[in-house]
Amino acid sequence: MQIAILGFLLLGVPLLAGGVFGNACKSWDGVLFRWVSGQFLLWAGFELISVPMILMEESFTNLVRIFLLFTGCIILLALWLDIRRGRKGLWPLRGAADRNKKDPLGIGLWCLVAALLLVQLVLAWALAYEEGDDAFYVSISTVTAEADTMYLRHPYTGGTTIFDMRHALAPFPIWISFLSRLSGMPAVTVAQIALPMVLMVMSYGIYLLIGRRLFKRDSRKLPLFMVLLECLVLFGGYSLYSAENFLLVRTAQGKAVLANIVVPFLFLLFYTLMERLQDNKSVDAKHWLLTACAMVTGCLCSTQGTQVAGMLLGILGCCTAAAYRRWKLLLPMAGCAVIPGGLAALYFLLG
Amino acid sequence: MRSFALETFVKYMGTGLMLIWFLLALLYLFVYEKRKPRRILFVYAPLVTLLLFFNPLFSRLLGALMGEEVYFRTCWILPVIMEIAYCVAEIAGRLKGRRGAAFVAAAFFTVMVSGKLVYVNPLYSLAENSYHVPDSVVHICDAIRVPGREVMAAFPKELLLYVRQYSAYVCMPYGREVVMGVPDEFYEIMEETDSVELERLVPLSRAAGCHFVILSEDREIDGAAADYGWTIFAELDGYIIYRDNEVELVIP
Repeated sequence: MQIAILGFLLLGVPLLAGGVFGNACKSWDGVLFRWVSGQFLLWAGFELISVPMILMEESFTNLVRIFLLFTGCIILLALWLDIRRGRKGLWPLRGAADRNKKDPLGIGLWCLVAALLLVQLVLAWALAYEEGDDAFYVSISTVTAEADTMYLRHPYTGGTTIFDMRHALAPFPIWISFLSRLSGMPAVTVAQIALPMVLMVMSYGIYLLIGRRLFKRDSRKLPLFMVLLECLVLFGGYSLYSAENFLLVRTAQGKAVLANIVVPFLFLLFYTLMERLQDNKSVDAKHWLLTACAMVTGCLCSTQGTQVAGMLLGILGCCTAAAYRRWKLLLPMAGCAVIPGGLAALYFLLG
Repeated sequence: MRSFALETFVKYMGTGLMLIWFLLALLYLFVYEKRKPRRILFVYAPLVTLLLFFNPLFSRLLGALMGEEVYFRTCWILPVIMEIAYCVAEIAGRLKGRRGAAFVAAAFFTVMVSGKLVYVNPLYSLAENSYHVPDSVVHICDAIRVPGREVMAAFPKELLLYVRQYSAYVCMPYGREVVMGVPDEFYEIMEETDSVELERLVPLSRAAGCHFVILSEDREIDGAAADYGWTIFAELDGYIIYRDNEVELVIP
């Protein structure tokens, strides 16, 4: 039952919520994109709801209630938009599979992609890593879920402590507590087993979405790209600091999500934006909303997420605006950085 | 003297071989990739990122804002693995037949030789349970837990990281910070190599309000536990749980 509830929270709810962006672009509305974008919307909402409540030293239970209300409203909105749109364009994955039926090498490569992913998922479940930072982040999740306070207890010892401003602005561990509270699964199990599996799939899913745009579902190049990516991640132990190492070792920590989900998702959003500019197509307001959600999610993941995501937005935004001579694009991009900028200012003023 | 940005970059790139493949891929795409969106994603943006990263003014400013020890995180916006994978797939697409297959095989071999398999890290071990903490932590925490209230317990070094991941109801007089070098007399006595001197340990444990002290079975104890008001509460997984009867534990 716990697994079913957690599965619904991590797969079903984002999939439903993603309906808000269903037709942001006609080529975007795959199941995968819908799931990922729905999760980004929920993450952004969680950051915006939780930070003020943490600063006001509200109880975790109240946060759970209000975030559930928010999630319910988002799902209702998405369902209403789905009904208005009808079933058009909901399952484009079927088309991709059909094309590969005629190419045995392509199918073989896809099998390799799946096998490598399966290996990583099994190892995420079967292997434990002695990660020092888990003593901090996972303990915060456990304390929050069990003691009903947020950042008021010392995670290492359990004693009362002064309010931890630095970490309170990036409450990714509190989101883990939320999953734990609703599913009934211990926060440590959510953080160490359940979440790594889902986040790994999401990370590779985003790379798959990027690959689809780069190779237009080429029956060989796309799976080859994915197999290479997986190998590069598996052999990413050349440095303790590489994003690949973080994906496998610290998967459920906010910084790993920043490096392996938020950053690639911003690449995807910008690549899609550039493709539309190349084809002289307009850019939907939903695109900017989703970019803003990705930026806010960066803040949820890490206090440095503001700088990392902001730097990426600035570099890609300026390069795109300069390359296409579309300087007006800088305005909505700046709009996407308003909330992260405000959170960064709060951190430097109060932290 | 190397700049702080260069030191950070060297630290981030580890052996440096992956950096070479990334830069070669960048160079290849700079020359051959003509489609504007891809040039922006794989050529212009990474180049601007590198220029900013090594700019002394920018690196000092961002290093000061983020903290120098985490400045390496700006490297995460370099699309290292995506760029290498894309470049290899593009080149393989241009080479037909056996040459293409040989190139792909060489690319996989190069990735494996240049990198290091993450799972060979000695800090990995077979998970003992669905919490990914040692079984001993689970058993000890379950044994000393009192429903409806917190207990204070001192643990040996090897269990410190896991106790509060598993249970918020077990509090500790010292935590991970002592492993990171923060001095703590209580912890130092607990971890003394020769034997645990109860004469020195008990007053500190009592002052911290410890209901329980957990010691490895292998540790020699200098003094008789009973003389200090300690009794053996349980023996589990190679550890002895001592209960300090002088520290009141009200069960609600």
